[in-house]
Amino acid sequence: MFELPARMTQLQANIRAGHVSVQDALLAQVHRGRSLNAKFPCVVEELSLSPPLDGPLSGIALAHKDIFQLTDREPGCGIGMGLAQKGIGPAKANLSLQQAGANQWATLVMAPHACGATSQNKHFARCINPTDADAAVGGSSSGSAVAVAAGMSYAALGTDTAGSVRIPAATCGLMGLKTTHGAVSTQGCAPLAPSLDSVGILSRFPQDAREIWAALCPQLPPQLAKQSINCQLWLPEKGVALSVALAIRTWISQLDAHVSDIHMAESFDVLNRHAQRVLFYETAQTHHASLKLGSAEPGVQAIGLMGLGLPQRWYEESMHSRPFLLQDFVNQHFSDADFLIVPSLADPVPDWQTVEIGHPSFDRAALFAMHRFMGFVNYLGLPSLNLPIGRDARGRAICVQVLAKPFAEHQLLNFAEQSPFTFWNL
Amino acid sequence: MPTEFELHSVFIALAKNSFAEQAYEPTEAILMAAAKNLARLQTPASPFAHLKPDGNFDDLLKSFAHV
Repeated sequence: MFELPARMTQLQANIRAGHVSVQDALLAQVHRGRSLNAKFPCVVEELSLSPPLDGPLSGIALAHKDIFQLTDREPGCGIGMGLAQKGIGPAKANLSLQQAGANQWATLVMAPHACGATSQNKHFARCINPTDADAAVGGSSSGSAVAVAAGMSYAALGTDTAGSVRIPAATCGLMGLKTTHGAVSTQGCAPLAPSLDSVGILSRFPQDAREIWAALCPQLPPQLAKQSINCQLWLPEKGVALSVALAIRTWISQLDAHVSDIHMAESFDVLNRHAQRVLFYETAQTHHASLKLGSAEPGVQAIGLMGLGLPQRWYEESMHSRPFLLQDFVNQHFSDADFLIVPSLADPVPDWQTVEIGHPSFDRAALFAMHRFMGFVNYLGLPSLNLPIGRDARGRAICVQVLAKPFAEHQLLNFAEQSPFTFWNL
Repeated sequence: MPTEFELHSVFIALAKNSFAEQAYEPTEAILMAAAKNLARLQTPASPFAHLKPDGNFDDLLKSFAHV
């Protein structure tokens, strides 16, 4: 069996050079994925490979969050297996990858209906973090993070409504790219809060994420990395663990960029409230029927019931303010700076029991620390990259989020390539 | 200045009305949680209330990147 390289871009080069056939490469990836799934269970369903189209991703077999429609298959959305449904086609995002030559060998577990900051899910085996079995796996794209961190898939698609790509990526030491709202069509993807939902990419390496991004959004040409980079850094004085703050400062000191500290606690707080209003209200609309029947999943209930109790006027106010607040935010943070750096998780990655609702060790504050800095980005619709920048005393990843102007995903990935820290020394 | 009790009553009434509009009958515990949630999600009066947005949100996002 062909020995797979660590990076997807290396495999692509091997295929292009004729060192391995497309078919052998696909079989090697499926074989490896299948065997690793025994140790890190995260596959919902194995799919049969389809004849690959010619393209830059020919010979690449990926696995994705089970939230996307596939040919003749409705997604399971974290509550069970997918449903056979003759005549339906793949989600737009999956179709774009297929057209670039990629195959999909499996669908991956997720928090039920994408409602949850952790991998907690009574319908499937508990997700095990490949970087540390005691560490939590974030959600909702939990299976995507496990599969990529374990080496079962070079990259995986997820969706991000309030951190669902960035949180699992942060817990597993991965790149997690939440794309600009609307940059990748969510057609064929089960909705949660459509105004906030974005398709995202998880990978170990920025170069691999770039290949996927280029296939998802081919109309945006790659950009050359800038020689001189200006960043703003918001590191709140309160609410961020000292070890996280110190790791961020250490990484910043090694960064080849000009970094200015800023304060944005007040605007963050307002944006966060708007984000939650939209999340609650739209989740309630999406899951209205099951909420009324009392059959909604616990995560959906927790958010959706608050949405049913939220005045429509409040939601409309938040939606009305959104473009103005975006304009203000871009003017304030991206007129002179290329990137805005903020913490990803407020605390080090917790043990899984600490954030498991119902577990005797459950700590609500620890769960809050996982998603505290996420939702405002979705409200603004901006792209944001979760980037590992260090390790804590237990070796778990410490990450930042790097925000950029709309459609600056290539620049974010350029920045990640220039980062002085690599979590995966392969 | 309204007292905390008066404020709380306002949010309970708001939540009750919203649940009714959604044809949902909450338990007492859910109603109280929703009222507490509303108290948490108050925002300052919007300075944009009288302004009309120029196009839709996704178009605004695109305008920043000229795509």
